[in-house]
Amino acid sequence: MSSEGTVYDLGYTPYEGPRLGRSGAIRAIFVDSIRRSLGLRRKPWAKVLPWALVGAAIAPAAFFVTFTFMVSGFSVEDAGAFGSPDQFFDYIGTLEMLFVALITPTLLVPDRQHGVLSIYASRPVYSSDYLLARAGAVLLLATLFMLIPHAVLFFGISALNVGGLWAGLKFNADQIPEILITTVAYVVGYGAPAFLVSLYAKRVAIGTGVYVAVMFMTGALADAIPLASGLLAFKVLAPMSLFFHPMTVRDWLFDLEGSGMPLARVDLPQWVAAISIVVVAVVSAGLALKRYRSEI
Amino acid sequence: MIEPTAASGIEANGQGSVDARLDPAFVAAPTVEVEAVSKWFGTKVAVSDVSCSFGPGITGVLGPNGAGKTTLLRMITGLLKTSEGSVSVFGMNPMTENSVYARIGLVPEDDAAYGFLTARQFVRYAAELSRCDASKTSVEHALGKVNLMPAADRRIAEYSKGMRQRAKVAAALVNDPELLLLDEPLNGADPTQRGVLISLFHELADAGRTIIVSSHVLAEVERMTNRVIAILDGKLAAAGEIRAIRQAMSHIPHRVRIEVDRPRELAKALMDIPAVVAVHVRKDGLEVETEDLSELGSRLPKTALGASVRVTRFEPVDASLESVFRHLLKIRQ
Repeated sequence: MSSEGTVYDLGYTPYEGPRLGRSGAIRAIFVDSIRRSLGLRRKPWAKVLPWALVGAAIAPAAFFVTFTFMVSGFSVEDAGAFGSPDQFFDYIGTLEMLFVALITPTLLVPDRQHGVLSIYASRPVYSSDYLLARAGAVLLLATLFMLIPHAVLFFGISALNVGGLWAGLKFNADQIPEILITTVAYVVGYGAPAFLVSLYAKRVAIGTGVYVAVMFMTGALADAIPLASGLLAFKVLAPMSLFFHPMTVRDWLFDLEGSGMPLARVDLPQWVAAISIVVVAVVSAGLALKRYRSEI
Repeated sequence: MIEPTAASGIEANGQGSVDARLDPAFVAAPTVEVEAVSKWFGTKVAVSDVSCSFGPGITGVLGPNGAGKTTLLRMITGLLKTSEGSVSVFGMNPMTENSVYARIGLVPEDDAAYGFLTARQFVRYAAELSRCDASKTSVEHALGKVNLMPAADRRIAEYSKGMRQRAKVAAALVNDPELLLLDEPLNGADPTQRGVLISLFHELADAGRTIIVSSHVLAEVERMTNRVIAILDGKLAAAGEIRAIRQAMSHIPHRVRIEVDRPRELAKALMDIPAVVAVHVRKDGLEVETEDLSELGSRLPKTALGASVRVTRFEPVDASLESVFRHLLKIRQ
């Protein structure tokens, strides 16, 4: 054993590592957003709702594939209604809205509620960086929320094709652009209003509740438009039926008549739904920047 | 004796009539410059025409609750826009030049920390937001500096207030800031941890960092620094070294405690000194009020000798920061 002693210098050592760019900070907020949305690194109860919704979205796709296999085995020529992606949007559309209602306020409201914005405001982070990262996380998760069940359905049904997987993929491939664009319509159509509500909500639960209420109420209001009505007021109301717009875009893309949709009831073309989605998204982005410019 | 304007800055600030180089509200090599800054919220004036500067070392920003300390700090960090005047940090405007934040560390007064993260995750996140390489070493180093390593993997929500405060300090330090702004940094910390944090701040100041500490706990500030900026009702009430500020209050008599074997004899003799205003005989000696502390100090030995008494202690009792601040509050009233 050495008899010599050493006193180590515990003095302050400055950070001498590399200084990363702006993208590093945006990536950090983005990763934090993903983790927070899915309850990762958090207590079990924080994971329950988001993962339950993810499970609920994937389960029908898995069920359809399993059911089709049980009925037809590997001899599917046309999967019919079970294999129709346009109809599948009906199953997961509402779940998508609930998922967005859950994660968007979680990302925006607590930072304001608990005064945590100073974490960002006192660092080289712009308000646009913060919003971009938060919105990016919502868009990515909401997109995956829709696309993963579709992928399960698409690959599952294709694998059961009588000609094998490759033949099945080729047979169904022409639907891919419509699936992707309709997914974007759902993600932006439901995500932008959620972002807008979350900009002003004071509690996560209030944000979620208000958003769901607004979506259902605008939908119900437009749904209540009498079929025969030609009044101008109804023509104004129909483009505000936020809940139905993604479905209308889907009908437009998949060449479906969509006669039950509010826009069709007042003889407005289906592409008006796409315009409405874009307008709400642009307004949300503008208000978000205005709201956070003074905060970060 | 230091001239009132030069020592306290009371006359100079807000008037713009005294050369800034003579005004103790300013430092020779400033990293932060505050020029004629005002901030109002509706009809409430939070900060009124404050000019001062901060350089390497620790400066205490003092004031009672609601005086405008936090508002001033928030304007320095660019979290709040000035209503009038300008703030410059490292020669840049923090409101418009975002890159300045890579050189700033802020410990805000409020509980600005994610409770669901562990301290390690929180400090790592702070490093990433500051565009630093959030390596294990730098994160652990920052946590080690505030003695949080043993609890680094516990969630911040489970922390005591003092531990949360230390986690915020670690997050502010992880990017090696040149300017550190601390808003009530010792809130909730126990005496041992206060000592640790104060030593750390001294260490950083010795390494050339500019540290601005806002607090209403005067004893804490006094342990950290001798240079203070005092704010009352949003206005700069005094600036400079604590003793110099006290000296500048020449119209308020200084109080001195003198321990002496025969108090009454010395009390009688002291009344012949013109600078002595009043003498109170106490159980263990005298308490003397004087207009000129240095005159009393220089004449006391001879007076004591003449009165054949033995003085064992001579101690100004109102030169502490707390006394100085109390006097400032009286001046305001």
